[in-house]
Amino acid sequence: MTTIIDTLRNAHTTSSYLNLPAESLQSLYDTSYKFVTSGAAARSLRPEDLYSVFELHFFLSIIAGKDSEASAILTTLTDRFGQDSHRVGVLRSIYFEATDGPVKALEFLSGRQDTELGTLKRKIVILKSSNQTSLYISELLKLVDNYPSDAESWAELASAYLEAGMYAQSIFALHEVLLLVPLAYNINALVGETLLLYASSLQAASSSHSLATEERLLEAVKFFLRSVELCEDYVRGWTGVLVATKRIAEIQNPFSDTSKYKRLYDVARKALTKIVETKDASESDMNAAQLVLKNY
Amino acid sequence: MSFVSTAITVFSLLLLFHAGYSAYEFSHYLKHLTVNSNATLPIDIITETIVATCLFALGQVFGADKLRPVSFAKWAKGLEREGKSPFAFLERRPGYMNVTKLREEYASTKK
Repeated sequence: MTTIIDTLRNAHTTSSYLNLPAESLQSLYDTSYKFVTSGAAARSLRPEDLYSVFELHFFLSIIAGKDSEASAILTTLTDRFGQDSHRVGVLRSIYFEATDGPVKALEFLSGRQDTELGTLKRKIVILKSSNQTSLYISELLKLVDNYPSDAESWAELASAYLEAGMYAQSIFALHEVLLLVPLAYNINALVGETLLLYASSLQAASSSHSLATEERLLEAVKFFLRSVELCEDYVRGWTGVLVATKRIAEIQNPFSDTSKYKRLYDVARKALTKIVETKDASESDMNAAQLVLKNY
Repeated sequence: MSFVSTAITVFSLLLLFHAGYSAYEFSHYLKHLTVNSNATLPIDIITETIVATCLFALGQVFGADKLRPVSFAKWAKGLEREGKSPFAFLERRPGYMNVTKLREEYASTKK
């Protein structure tokens, strides 16, 4: 049985509130509101858990548009940690960005220390939301130059390049993420997916099948298999293997020997059908698996 | 701790206590009620001690928590099913949260 504390703690560490649909976010906000304002949090939690719950409550209030609630929790955190605190500064800049707009937020952020990573990230996000894409990418590159061990920034750079259609650069950035977090099975799958997109774009550009396209497809299979090795019955990984091996099998005159990829196709199909039959995944994963099994 | 494992553990402790008391009684009688003592501790007391120890170990093992996975792949699968992936932050990127967009999306669906 998951307790309220477990739910909130998990939501905070995985930042699930960034992807939730509105009803789930509403219920999460209600839970957090009741837990925080009733004083139950202050009574039952250790300090490190307590302030994580407060930070989560701040983010939920901001997204749900409850600005007064966000202001109250921000005051509580400022009272505890002071104006100079790095994380409190980031929260305050988010509050300004949400209520007054990006200009006020930038004004506040320029008054902060240069060395604060969180502050630099917020400045870059404001650039992104005001649609200055080239400046956004160059600022990200500068940040990643100064802080090359921050996997989140490399992942953000990869996403930026992907949106701009620069697949090779996106894959390079994702490789950097994998250097920092080698066991991240979701990033391995993401590299595979980006390689598939890259192969599609190369195929669309040239009339006949090129070596580059084939190499991308073969590489994609490798990354999807790595993701499945790292996480058993990973639906995203197996669907990737299925799609990539199917596309390899469809090549008329391949440059290299592709017989083993037909066997891999059968393996992937078997694995996915087993997952679907035993209902071993979440609802959305099951639907995706069934869709891919039908079409590939 | 299940009922069976607790029962086995308690029974084994009783056996152990009984064996210990029997050994004490034996040494007491040996000292006070015999002249020349060549006798060693009776085999049944020794057996009772050994059986009690084994039963205690068995009882503790059966009452242990459910085993959690050792291999990374299985552990990752469990976390992924529960939605607690330790790598989700790389795709969600909370440090780069786009506040205005999230607020707009929430407000539009709440209408």
